[in-house]
Amino acid sequence: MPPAPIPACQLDSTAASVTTTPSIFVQHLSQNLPASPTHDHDRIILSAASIVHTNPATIAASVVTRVSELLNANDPPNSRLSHDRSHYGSHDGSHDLSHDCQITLSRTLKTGTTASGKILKQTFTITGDLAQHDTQHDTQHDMQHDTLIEFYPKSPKSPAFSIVLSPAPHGCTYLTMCSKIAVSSTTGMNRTLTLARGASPSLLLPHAHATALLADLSSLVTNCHRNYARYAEIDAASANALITSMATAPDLTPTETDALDRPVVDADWRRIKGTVQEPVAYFQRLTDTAAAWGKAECVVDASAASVFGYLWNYNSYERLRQHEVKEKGLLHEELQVSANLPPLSPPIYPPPQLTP
Amino acid sequence: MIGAKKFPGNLEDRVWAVYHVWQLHPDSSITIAFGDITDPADAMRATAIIEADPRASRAIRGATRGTWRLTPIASKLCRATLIQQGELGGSIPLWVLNSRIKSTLSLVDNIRSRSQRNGHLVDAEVRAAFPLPPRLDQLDEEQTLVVALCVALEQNECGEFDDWTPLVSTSPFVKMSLRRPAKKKGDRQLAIGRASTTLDSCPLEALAWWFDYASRSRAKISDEEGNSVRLVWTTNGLHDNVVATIKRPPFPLHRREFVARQFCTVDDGVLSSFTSSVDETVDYGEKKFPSRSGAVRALTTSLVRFKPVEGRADQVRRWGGTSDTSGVLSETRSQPSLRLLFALSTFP
Repeated sequence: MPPAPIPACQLDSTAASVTTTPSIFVQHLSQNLPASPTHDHDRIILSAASIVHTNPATIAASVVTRVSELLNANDPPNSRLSHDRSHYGSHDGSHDLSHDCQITLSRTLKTGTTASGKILKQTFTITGDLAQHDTQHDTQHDMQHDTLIEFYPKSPKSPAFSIVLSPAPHGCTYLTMCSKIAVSSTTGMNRTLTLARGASPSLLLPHAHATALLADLSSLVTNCHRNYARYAEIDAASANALITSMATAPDLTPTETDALDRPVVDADWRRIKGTVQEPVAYFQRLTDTAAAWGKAECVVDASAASVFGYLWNYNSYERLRQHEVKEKGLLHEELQVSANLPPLSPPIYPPPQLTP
Repeated sequence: MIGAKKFPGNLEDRVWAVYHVWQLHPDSSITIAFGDITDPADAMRATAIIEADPRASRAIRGATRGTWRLTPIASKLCRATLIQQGELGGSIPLWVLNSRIKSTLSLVDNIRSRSQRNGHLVDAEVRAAFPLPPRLDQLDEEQTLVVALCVALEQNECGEFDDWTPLVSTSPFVKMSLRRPAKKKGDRQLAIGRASTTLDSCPLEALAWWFDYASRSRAKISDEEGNSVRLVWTTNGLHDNVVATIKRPPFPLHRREFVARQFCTVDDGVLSSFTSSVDETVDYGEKKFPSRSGAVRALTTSLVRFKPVEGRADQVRRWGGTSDTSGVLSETRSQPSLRLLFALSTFP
């Protein structure tokens, strides 16, 4: 009996940690880790999540029928010509996936006072069956229908993974992929990797190799996101949804009214030096305090509502990318605090499903 | 909304947690106010998010407040105004703070550039949305004085001017003439120019083109003429504003600065635009303020009438452009206005 994949909801939230992400639109929710020393074996669990700009059925069909293409998509063109790492086909009524996970690790070897880098490449083959199920669970408002795709490894050396597809606004899908591999609890350089619970140690592998193995598999999430990306369309749909809902927004709360009534003095401005010929008029108010005042004014070739849609949609793909480029990946978050907020766009990251 | 900003050099990054709220006004304008989070529970949630991020937790907490105003101009055009106060926290000198104001406001330029469209289309939308101006009897006292000043350009009751002398026109479609004052020893020689043409446009649209002083097409003409500044300095409603320009006359003449109030009216189907110089100091962002960039302040008075042509609803006849300029330009002072008329004759 092959080991069952781990549903996303069974992740141990206490062990969750966000790791380096391959894309700003894909998040690794957890990577972990030996949370319970009572087990015979430690599990390495990697969860990657993203929002994919198409419906769950399309993604499910794509994963079930073209999983090898999704896994091979990151390979350089030259290597793909010579060797496709993934193969997928139906045999005896089941869908078999064979994937060579090629992991690359760099290690610095210190000899005396000099250090030299060494790149290690190792290839592992995973084989198993893909199966698709439809599930439904009760959310706060109604029943939510999810699609679950599970990979049952045939070989004890293969990791298991599951993909949960949940519907999201604007025809999108929250995609969460959890993959796991079991390793021996032995620590240090001789950490033993047993590729399934209860299996005999058959391969000695450093802990980092097992993590890299799962990271290679999770490229499926990145490629799914990339294949169906419709950033401009989704941003526009979010902005339109916002504009449409403006007329039906609830009344302002006293706190919100206070914030709007807070006086902002629009006087005593001095044009910023050298900006008179710019299309935007920049002004400043010089004060002796530590607070600087500035004013900018221009004519925008768009309606007030659409400019509002852009400004209010703080987590739009366009603004997120601008922030990523300009601020080098510094924090950019939206915190819903107000009752005056119309429903916003789907979050870039799906809601973490880390509760037990 | 929580955002962190990278600072150059050795300066530490800054992080802000800002509360935003918006309001839609009955005139379809939108206000977004922002400031520090006042609710303790929300502030704690924001702090928790910041603390959870390794880089943001090391950043210095800044504070900001301000307001966005989005005022519709046409169906697909609006005026965006951002007024913002920023406190960077930490020990940043005030001059560094002031020098970064422009970059703080750069979101306005982002919005402008991402929405930028063809200037001719935008100008056409502005003209289409231009409302009918007020009647003469609806003007205030100050405006009535300007009207009297402008209307006097047409009159010659006291015989202080010679008759209109035809002028060599720059266009076969525009008639130009000049009226010189009767010569008196020691007096300034201020001539009045006049030009008239027929436009293939309705009067209101032609007036809208004329009144939209800093439109894309007119700004382009001004740039091509080598003029350094062209802007609407202040506005008082939809049909009254103060405009400023610095024009570059031919060598060796000095640059001329025009600051004038313009407003328009409608009377018996005739649309009029009145322009008269005002004694206001315009801030051009020079090092020293007030400054006129070394330009000579010039004076101008003009009256432009747009009359429908009988039997041709889409055509309009205009006449009566004058411009008085102080300094050495007394004989050629009307040229800029007449050139503009030529541009108008080729409208749209």
